[in-house]
Amino acid sequence: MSKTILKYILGILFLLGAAVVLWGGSWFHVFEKNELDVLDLMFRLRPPIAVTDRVVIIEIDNSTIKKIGHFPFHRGYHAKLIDALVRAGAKALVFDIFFSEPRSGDKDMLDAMSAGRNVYLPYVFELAPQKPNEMARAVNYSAQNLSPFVSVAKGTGYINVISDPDGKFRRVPLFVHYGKVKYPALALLVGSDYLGTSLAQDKIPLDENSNLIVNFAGKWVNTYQHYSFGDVVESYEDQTVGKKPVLDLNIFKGKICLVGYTADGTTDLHPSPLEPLYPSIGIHADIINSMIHKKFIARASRVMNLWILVALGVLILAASLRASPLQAFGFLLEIEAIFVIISVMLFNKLGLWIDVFYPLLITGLVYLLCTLYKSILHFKERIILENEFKIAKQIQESFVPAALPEVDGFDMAAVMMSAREVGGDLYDVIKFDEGTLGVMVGDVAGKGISASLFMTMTVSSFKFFAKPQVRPQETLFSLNEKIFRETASNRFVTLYYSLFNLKTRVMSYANGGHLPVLYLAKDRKDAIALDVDEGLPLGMMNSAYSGRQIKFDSGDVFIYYTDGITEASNTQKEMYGFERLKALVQIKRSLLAGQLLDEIVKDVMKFQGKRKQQDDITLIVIKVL
Amino acid sequence: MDVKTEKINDVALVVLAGELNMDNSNTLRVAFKKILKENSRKILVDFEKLVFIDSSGIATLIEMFQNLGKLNGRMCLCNVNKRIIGVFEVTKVQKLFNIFVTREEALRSFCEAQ
Repeated sequence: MSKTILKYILGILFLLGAAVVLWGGSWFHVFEKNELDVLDLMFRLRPPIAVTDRVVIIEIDNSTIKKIGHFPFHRGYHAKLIDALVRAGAKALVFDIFFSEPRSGDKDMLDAMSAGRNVYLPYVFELAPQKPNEMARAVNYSAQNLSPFVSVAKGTGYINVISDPDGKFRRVPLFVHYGKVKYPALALLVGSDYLGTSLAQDKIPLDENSNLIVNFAGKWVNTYQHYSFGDVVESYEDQTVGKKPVLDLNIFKGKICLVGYTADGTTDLHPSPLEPLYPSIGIHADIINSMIHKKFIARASRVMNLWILVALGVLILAASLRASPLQAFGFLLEIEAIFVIISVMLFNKLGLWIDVFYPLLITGLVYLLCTLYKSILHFKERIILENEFKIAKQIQESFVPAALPEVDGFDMAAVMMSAREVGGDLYDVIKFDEGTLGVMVGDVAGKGISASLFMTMTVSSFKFFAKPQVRPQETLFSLNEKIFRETASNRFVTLYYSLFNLKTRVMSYANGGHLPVLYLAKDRKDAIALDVDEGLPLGMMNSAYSGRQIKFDSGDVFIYYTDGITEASNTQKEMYGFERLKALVQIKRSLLAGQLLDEIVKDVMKFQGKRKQQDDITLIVIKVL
Repeated sequence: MDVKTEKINDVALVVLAGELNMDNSNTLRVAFKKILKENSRKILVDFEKLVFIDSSGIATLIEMFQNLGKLNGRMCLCNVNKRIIGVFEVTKVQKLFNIFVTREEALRSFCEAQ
């Protein structure tokens, strides 16, 4: 199997794996605890929702126990409460209290219940462990009321709540199967009776296990009207003896009164999204409130969550692959922010709860993976490019002489040091025949690959035009014409070219905008620059080139160089300059060409100090023996 | 290097500061292209704050000079320091440019040319 096919297969397997992980993570609610945390946060941050005034809570609180003096107390007090509320015209009286063993005062209570016929009693099922996608099922009762009470109650319902994986209580099974019968939750029963609707609540959104997600209306102390059991009973007693009661009992007219324990040590408390200890009676109130206002919490289906995930993932994937990492990051943050805002709005307005944590996590991961993938690709490309540069350097090096020719009566040395992988400097030393030597040095404007290509073209053309019988200015003229004509780019090259006639001992030279050769005659103290009147850099425009000649003699020194020498700068941004070069050559004039070359390079390096070499350096030293 | 452009009547003034070299000559090229796009055909480059120019910098100036020539435009330089004049002399390009001592002188020359 070829490597490419293997790569494709691996790529497809990787994508499939990633898709399965994504799907699995969403489908199986792997991050359920985090989603629940987000849900709690949304509950806490949402503006207050409508709370009905038709539900009141009557608490057997600390003050009640203090007033009555003992606990559990005589059932006659319950009888009085029932009497009081029945007389006040309460619509329903719901106990979240069990009357499961006989106690004194039972008869009074039974009488009161029979008279009112609007008392609801709770019971608790022992639930079987809930299987996925299955309605809650009971195996037994775990708490019940005495049957005489049950027989005179208006209705009974279970008060089981379901604990989530994080231990908090957010759900209530709307119905429980026991035997062959479906039993309603206490709050559902009370709410349906109150609203006069059927028990079959097909408009109530349920989770996959037919559980209702409680729409918590707010914190316990701030939500619903709360009254003390003791106050109600005391007011009733006062009213019967003609005293002015603490409470006007008429406030209970038409209300659903939920009675439960909240006194220390008696309470039936559960951790809820809004507070760590929330009385279970509050959960009944919240369910009835939801039914009255028809505001429920509905969880988005797994399919819907998956589609949202796919849409977000594809969006971020496309952005991450196309845009720069920074742009894509900005896009990621924007998309995530928009997604969070929409999720919060859906929750606040419609009560729709969609997965938030997992999509945020996945979009972040998609971005990271894409960026990583891209940087690996770039890294590979860079390695390839670096190799190309190395090859280019080798090719370029083949365009300057590997070794200088041996010429009788001449001591020569040359060096070229590129500041980058490939440079723009060029030089050539050609021994045409026994009598003529051509020396050329040049510098292409610009650096890098394009400059090096231009350099190779210049050297090739130079070799073509340079002939022993052609004067340097004529060679430059032809070369300039060709380069100017044939190169579209605005490139140019400065070039200095000289011809040594070994027989006549005459050196003729021409200059196309290059630095002049430094010439130190044997019998002179000062070195001079050998320059001409006319000659633009080559490739710029049509130009005239003028030439000159000098006679040379034994002991004369010629220095050819590029601006890498004279424009070498130190950390103070001073330049090495022509004068420094000149002074050095004058002092070291007696050295051999190779030694003098080393001295100059050493001096330039020393001058630069810690500063990096800025430009290519080319240096040719010729001594006439 | 810092490139600032402004308009004085119909002359586009380009003020350079720092070092014009291989690494930043493209900044100048971009500025020039923008000026041409805005239909300016008279360009004055002020070198007062420019301390150094290398062959790439010269190449950029030449390129501009040639492009403007094709469009019948005109380019002048002013406030060029001695060192840079030296570089121009070595490369023999000083004859190509109209170099003025002061900005005012250069601006006047544009008026006269009209």
